[in-house]
Amino acid sequence: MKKRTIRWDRLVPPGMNGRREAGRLAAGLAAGLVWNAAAFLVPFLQEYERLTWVRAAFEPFDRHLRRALIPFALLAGWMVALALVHLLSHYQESRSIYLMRRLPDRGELWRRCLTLPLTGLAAVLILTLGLSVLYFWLYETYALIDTDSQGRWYWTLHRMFYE
Amino acid sequence: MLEIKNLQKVYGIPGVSAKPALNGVDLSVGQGELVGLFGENGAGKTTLLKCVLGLLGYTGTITLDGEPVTRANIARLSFATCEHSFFPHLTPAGHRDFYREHFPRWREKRFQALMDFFRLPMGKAPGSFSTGQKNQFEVILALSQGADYILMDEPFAGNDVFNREDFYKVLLGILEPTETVVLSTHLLEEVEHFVGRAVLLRGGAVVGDTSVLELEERGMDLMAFVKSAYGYEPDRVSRALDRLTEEGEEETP
Repeated sequence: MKKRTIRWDRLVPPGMNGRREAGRLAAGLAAGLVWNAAAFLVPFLQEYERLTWVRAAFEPFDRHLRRALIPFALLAGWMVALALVHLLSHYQESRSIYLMRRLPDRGELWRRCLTLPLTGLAAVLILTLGLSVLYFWLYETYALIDTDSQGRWYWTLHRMFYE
Repeated sequence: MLEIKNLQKVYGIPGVSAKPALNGVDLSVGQGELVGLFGENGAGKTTLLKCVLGLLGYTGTITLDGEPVTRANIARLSFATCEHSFFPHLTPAGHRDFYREHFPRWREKRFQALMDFFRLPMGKAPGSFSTGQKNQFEVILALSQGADYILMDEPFAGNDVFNREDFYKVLLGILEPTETVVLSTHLLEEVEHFVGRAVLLRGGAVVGDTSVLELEERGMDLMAFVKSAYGYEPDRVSRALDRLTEEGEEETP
């Protein structure tokens, strides 16, 4: 069977290093994931140790989640900036935008500008949703919950799974 | 045939800050013609070429052999501009692969021959070329695309005279009878022996359109034609100098 390789350089404006950009994107997502996990799990476990045996209510879920989603918000902003950098690169040092805009393949410009940023955004979205559900399950399972203090995200997830 | 009818282009917001750049241009360019497009700065030459390529919005009609310019036939037009439209960080070899992929009529032999003739390195990104080399590379790409209509906007700005002479000779040598060149330039005296037709723009309109042969029969050169079409007053400079020297004599005690 013929091995298929990804032509990374086709996913970025011509002249840019597609493989390096994809690598940076993956590293950014990995770092975001570690930050996200630490931002939720560390305070959550600390609360678990501190509060469970005195039967005190944990911090509202929304506050835990908001803290944990900061890296993903930054990653999303980075993806938007990356798309802009890709587009603006066609105006730097020359006007390669003239060439891209007169190609018979209308999609070539947008494919090169947007593929990696949109892939990154999709990954951020999937991680946000998936980890939010995981953290909600952890919270529901192990936290002592004061329902009066819970916020919008808690109740949204609660309705999704219990109603 | 490239046909342009009643082409109008206005920059800015109509009624607020509108600046007309093209004012009803009518022009037909047949296959195989070498057309010089001349005019003062701001006459509309660059705007005209960019409208033909679809890089600017306009009103009027532009057709290639009766069909509007669309993705289906845009490859029949190529463009070399003094602003440079190549990718500064992609090597010439990378450009070759890119053009080969996107322009089915890419001319590999011509590209290689021109790169060899002008001694441009295939493995060095054009962003690090000299200005003259960048211009050469830009024109090489336009000539090698496989287009029927090659539009050039001041392609030699910054090249030395020997470089330019070499280029005219090479162009005349390699162009096929079906290839059409529209060359916008200020270098009237240099291109006079290269172009077969001169189109003169002023204030966004065509004010002169003649064949070089016709000019020769009338005993005129291109510069004289442009001057007469522009209403150039040959004694304007001497009159101004006379006035200045008279003022100078009045001021000295």
